[in-house]
Amino acid sequence: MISQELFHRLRAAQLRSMREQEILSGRGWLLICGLAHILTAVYPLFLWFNVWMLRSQPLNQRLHPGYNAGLTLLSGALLLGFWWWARFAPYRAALAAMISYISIQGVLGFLDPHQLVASATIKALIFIGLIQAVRVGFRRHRPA
Amino acid sequence: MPVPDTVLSALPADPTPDRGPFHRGGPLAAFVAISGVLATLGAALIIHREGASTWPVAGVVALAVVTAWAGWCVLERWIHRAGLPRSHSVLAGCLGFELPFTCRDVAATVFFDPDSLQAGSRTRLLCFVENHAARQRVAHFRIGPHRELGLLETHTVALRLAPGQAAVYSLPLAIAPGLRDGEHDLPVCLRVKKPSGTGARLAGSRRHIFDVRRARFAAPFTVSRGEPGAPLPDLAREAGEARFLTLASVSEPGPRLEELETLLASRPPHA
Repeated sequence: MISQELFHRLRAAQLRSMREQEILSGRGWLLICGLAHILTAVYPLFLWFNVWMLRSQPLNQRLHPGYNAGLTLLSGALLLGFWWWARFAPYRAALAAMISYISIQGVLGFLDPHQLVASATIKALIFIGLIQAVRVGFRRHRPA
Repeated sequence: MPVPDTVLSALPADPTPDRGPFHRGGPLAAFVAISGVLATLGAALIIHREGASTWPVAGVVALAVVTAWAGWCVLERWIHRAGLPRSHSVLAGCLGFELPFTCRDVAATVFFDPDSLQAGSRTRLLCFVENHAARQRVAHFRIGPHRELGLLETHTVALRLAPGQAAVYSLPLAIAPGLRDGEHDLPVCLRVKKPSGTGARLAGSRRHIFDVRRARFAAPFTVSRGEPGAPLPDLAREAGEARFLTLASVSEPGPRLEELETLLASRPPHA
C-alpha cells in the first residue's frame, strides 16, 4: 500500500484535474444539438407531406408546415455548419450558434407561437446543449 | 492523431492473456436479439399469410441475419460467463480517484505531481490508466504541445494494457524559467484501440454511464514567482526519461502500489 501522505497528495491533484475535465467538447455539444434539431424536423415534414400529398387541411397552425419544416431544417443545418467552424474557433462558433438559434426560434415563435409550446422540451434541451458548448468554449478560450 | 510506431508495455510485464468472448454481448445486443426475433417472426408470419414476393423476403432474411448475429454475441457471453478474473479496481478503489467516464473500458486520469511549483523547476505528468475489459487495449495519448513545458511538438505515446491491468505513465517535464505566474494547463487527448475485440467487462470494475471513444483532459498546474525574460533551455532533454509502470495485474492476488510509492517518493530529476 501507499502512505497516507502520498494518497492524499495524489487525490488532491487528481480532484483538481477532474474539475477541469469535460466529457464533451464544445464541438461535440454543437454536433449533438445539430443532429437533435434535424430530428425535430421529422414531424413538420410529416405534416407538410400530409398536406401536400393528401390535400388535407393544416392542423390549426398559422404557419404553413412547409415553412416550419424548412426553418427547422435550416436551423439544424446552421448548427452543423457552426460545428464545422468550431474546428477553428470553438468559442466564437458556439456563441454564434447560440445567438442564431435564439434568433431563429424568435422568428418561429413570432410567426406561430404554437410552435414554441409544441416542442418546448426539445428546444430547452438543445438550448442547454448550446449553453454547455459556449461554457466549454469559453473555458478553453480564456487565456491561461 | 499521429500514431507512434512502437507500443510500450508496462514494467514489470503483465502476462495476462485475453479471455472471454470476443464481442461484448451486453444489454444492447440482448435488446437487438429479442426485438429482432419478434420482428422476424411477425414479418415471416405476415409473408406466409399474404404470399411471398422478393423484397419482403429479402428484408426478413436481412433481419434474421442481424438477429442471429446479436443472438450469437449474447450466447458467446453466456458460454464464457465463468472463468473471468476480477478487476482490482485500483484507480477508483485503492487510490480513490474520481472518474466520471471510461474510454472504451479504460479508466484514465491525467494530472501533474507536483501541480504547484516555481518557474524553472521540474515536475512530472502522471497518466493513470486501468483496463476494465477482459481483452487488451492500446491507449494512445497525445500530450501537448506546450512550449513552456518543453513540448515544442505533440508528444504521442501508445501504451499496451493487458486485461485488467492498471498502470501509470510518468513523463518528467520542466517548467520554463520565463513562464509567468498563475494557472496553466496542458492539453492531453486519449484515444483507445481494441486490437483483439471488445470483450466482456470485468467484475469489480465500476460502471459508468459514459464510455467515450476519445477523452480530452486539461491537466492543471500553478506557477509562482516566475522570472520573465529568461531564455528557454532544451527542457525536454533535461527533464529525464519517461517511465511506464504496472500497478496491478489480475494474474496477481493484489495491486503493487509500492512501485508507485517508489516512483513518487523521489522528487522529479534535478528538482
